[in-house]
Amino acid sequence: MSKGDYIKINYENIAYQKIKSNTYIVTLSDHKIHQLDDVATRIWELICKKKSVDEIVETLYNEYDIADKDILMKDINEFLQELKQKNIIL
Amino acid sequence: MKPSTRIAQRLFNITFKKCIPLDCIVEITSKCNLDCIHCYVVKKGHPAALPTVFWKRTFVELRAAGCLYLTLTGGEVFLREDIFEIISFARNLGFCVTIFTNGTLLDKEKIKLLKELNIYELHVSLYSLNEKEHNSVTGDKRSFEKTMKAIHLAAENKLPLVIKTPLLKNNFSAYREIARLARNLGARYVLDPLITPKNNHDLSPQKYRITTDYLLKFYSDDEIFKKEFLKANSKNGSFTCSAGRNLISISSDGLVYPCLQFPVVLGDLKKNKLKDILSDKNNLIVKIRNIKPERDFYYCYHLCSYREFCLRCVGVAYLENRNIYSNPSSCCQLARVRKEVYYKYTKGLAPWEIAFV
Repeated sequence: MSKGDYIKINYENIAYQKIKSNTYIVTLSDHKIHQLDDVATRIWELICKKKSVDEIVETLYNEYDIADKDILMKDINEFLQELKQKNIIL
Repeated sequence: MKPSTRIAQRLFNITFKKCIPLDCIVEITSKCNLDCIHCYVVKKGHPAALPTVFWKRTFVELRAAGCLYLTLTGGEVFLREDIFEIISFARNLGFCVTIFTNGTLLDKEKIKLLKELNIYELHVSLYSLNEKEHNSVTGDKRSFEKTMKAIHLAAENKLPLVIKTPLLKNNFSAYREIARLARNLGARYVLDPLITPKNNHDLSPQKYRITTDYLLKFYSDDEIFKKEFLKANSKNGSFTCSAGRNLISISSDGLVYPCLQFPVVLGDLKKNKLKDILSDKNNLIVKIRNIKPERDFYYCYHLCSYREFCLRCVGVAYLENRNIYSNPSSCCQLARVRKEVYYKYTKGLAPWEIAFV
């Protein structure tokens, strides 16, 4: 995934809801439920708003007390990889 | 990310505690093309169905209230011409959609559309593999043929299929064969021995309830029922009920109930906003949410010797006796039998010995 691209959600395969500060995603292909904590929920909201990886990194860098932008980028990429493996994003 | 079952439990606990309607069962129409002998739905002379726009608005409100699991039932949902528009709208909002149907109106095209919409589960009611027996429950001579066709089409198209059988006097001998069919088709199978009164407290469906002897046979059936599931509660019985907390229902005329089996009107969506109906300012919902089994069901919770095996239902108590604090006889019957089977098979006790446990 290029850093400037926005992330495509696999809407066909998911149902989701935000409850308090967490987001719960059901993957319809395997009937599993996944939980995103508050930071992951923030990333999810940005994904839903069609923000690119760069924009997500920038937003989180400004919103949270994060010292190292590179580590943040790495963490976000790992998270996106996990979402991809679970067939939540394309 | 944590394992799925733990997350589901956590989600249930949070929404239960915070009274967020995670689950909603919507009776999208009261119209039905069958006339099942045990049906709890009261025939209202089929009033004009609420329009598509009403349900769309309601779904938006449900979404905002925190609902994730949306079940569409009837009547027969596929009698609505706009049903696919409604399902599609719900899926686009992000709901996990389950559909309850008798299957008689489903054809290849509709099954394909359901597949494309990625519904969570399709529940089809099947009463017997014997055509006459099935049709004697539904009151329609062609229903078996149509329902079986829908079941096979759903399985062929790999729809997440659930076959459901309410256990009645009329179809008791059918469940084993249906269970095998479900296994062969890769479908989930749900059996329910609890037959509830009609939603207007009419007890007539209960005459089809299976007898205690049949219940004993059913719960003793190793092929179907695992004995460890007979215990429903801990020693001090919990009787946790989601109704009005993280579960609500909406009737075909827009009335909000705690549960379809607990038809106390909490509000009318034709006049009020859902968030107002579910708010703490609604005294009735507050009263239901404040039910405390240890205080309000004192006998069942503290004294009854069947309490560990009891699936006590507030709605059934209300429907049977017009009193939510009363003891529902159907639940008592089930609990008695569950206890007897449990001790017979796990401890080798005779019925007279079980009475003293």
